[in-house]
Amino acid sequence: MDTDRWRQDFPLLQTAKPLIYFDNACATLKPESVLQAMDTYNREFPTCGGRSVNRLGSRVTKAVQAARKVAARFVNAAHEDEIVFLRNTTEGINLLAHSLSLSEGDIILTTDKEHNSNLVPWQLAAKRTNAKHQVVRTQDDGTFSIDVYRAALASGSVKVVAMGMTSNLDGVSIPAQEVVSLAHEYGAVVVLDAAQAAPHQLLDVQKLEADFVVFSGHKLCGPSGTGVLYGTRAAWTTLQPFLVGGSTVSSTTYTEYELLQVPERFEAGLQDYAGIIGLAAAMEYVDLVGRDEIARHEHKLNAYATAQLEQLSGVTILGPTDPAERGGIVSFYIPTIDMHQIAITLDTASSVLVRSGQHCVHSWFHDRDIVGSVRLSFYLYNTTDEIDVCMAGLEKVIAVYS
Amino acid sequence: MACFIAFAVLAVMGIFSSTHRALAREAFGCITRRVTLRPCDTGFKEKIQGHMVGWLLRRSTRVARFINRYFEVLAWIFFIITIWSLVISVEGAYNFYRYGSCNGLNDSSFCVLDPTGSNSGVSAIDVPDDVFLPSCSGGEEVEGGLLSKVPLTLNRYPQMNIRTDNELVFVGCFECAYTRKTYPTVSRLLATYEPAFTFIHHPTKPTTAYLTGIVQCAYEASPEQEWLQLIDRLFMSTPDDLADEDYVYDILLDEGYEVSDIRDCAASERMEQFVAKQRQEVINTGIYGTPLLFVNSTPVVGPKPYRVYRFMLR
Repeated sequence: MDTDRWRQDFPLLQTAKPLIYFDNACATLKPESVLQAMDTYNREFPTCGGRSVNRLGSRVTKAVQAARKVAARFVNAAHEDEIVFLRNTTEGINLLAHSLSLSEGDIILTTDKEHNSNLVPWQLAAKRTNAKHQVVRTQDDGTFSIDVYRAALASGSVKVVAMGMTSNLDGVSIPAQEVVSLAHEYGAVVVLDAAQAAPHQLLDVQKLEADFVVFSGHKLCGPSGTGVLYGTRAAWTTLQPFLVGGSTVSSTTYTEYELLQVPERFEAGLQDYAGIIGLAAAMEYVDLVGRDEIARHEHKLNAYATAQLEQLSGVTILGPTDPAERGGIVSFYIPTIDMHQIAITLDTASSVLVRSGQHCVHSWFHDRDIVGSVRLSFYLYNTTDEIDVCMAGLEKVIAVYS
Repeated sequence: MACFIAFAVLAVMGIFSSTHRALAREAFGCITRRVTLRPCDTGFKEKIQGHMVGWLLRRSTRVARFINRYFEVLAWIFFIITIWSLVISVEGAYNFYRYGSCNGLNDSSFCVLDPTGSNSGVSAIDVPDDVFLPSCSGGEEVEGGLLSKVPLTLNRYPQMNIRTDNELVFVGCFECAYTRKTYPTVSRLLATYEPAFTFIHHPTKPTTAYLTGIVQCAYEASPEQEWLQLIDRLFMSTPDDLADEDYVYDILLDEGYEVSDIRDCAASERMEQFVAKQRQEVINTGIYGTPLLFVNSTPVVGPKPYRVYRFMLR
């Protein structure tokens, strides 16, 4: 992959002393094309879509329709109306946790490494409906055990399987195809949290056959405050309305209302049109680079970083030892050094930006009695040279704090 | 300890910056946990330490390692210095409010609240001794109470003085800038508190030395309102005018004085001796410039704000 060519698209990497950004699992940098798309909306037609028939309003409506097409293509959805725009993955999962029909005794299955966004909404839903939330534990090396999963499915009436496709903690992916297939065998609805998957690998929802797939824009070069919730036409019909109001109804009387069809039914209120347009530009950009290419590049970087990390004293890497199983994420801790000190010192001393803490997966850290970790997460614009700088900085950090 | 020192510093910086206010709040949260015997779980110390060590790492690994190793000790040292500075600052602010100088009464060292030193400025005495001071070697004791209306002697000040009540002795010269700056304040004090007032003309330049005898003679001729009006007019006159003896006698005439009597009085041997003795008496106080006020027998050097004199008189 010609990283140098793609780096030129990111204004933040074109400064005299560019930062080294390794916090892509949180949010990626934005390329010029995304910034321009949003700027064009704000400057040329910053008005309402889906309702005003004036020339500006019509332009917004067309732009959103085009964005929906791009999103459908991005996940290979069969129909554009299977795509709902929302604020982020968290909102998508909350929508599902509120709108899926759950009742007493139903089981909701998640893994033990779920981001809080794919954990707390289900915990709340379980409390609200007297359903049961059950955790499928991963193996000691963080990889998914299909046998444990199968046993969990067989143990009772599993209604929902909600799992992260790729963990933001250690980068390990679940065998999504198999997970979906097994869940359907047991009649469960499958919700895939693809926040860490969609930006890094090709996503074919038709092949996956998942009922719902949700991801955010800000992790794939798009603007923050944007996300996509895909659902099959059949799956959408099972949902109760979530947020309603403007844009979700075709007509109302003082006593009745008539809801619009999906996707409008689930896109209440005036939308973040600049964000949606920017998100479409981001998805086009990522596909221009090529997600297969991105995945290969990240694996290469991860292998390179892992090899160097293993040379440093006191470093423990979370997840499997083989970097090929950890996508673009390498998460580690040094028991004698505070993770935030590592992150802040790397930032201040070497301009290397990493993530420290529990990465919104508190439950896993509490269960393992680990304070937290430092996470390096790579993307298409990162280079091995940057990793060299990071590791040199890390060596100094260890020398100072140990 | 890092959160204590950080809070002290950030709280002050937070007055000017919202970023520092947020950090100060974080530090305060950490302090709250520490004082309630709970561990500080905000990671605040680690963040601050990380920033400092990171910054130092760019320059010297050895220094960064040293700071990291002794961070707690250094934090204690800075904490003590900060508290000490805070105490000094509060004391300085109090001194400035109370005495017009951060360093205390009559201390003319640099004060950040009065950077130009205007509250402590004096007109230095630079008159050659032989011009009008037959003996100004200091230490020669003379009879006190030459002008003061109460039993106050300036000799061997302050050991020999008994604290007076509502007494204001103003030593200054008509042409001196700082005395002239002080005079409106003195007038305001006279109007408000009506203290027993004594003005001693103590010239710092020979051009107006002759005024001492004239003012004394005028006082003897009419010690009350007319004399105060005369003082007023002399302070309102320009230094150049004051150097002109005829100009001064015109004022005397205007104020209703018998000019020929004043001339004779001022030229008399008695007055010459009086002026010399008064001069000696003032010098014996250790005066080094004007204005010098004795407010209820406390010496105050330089043109202080009104509040300083008010505190003393009250």
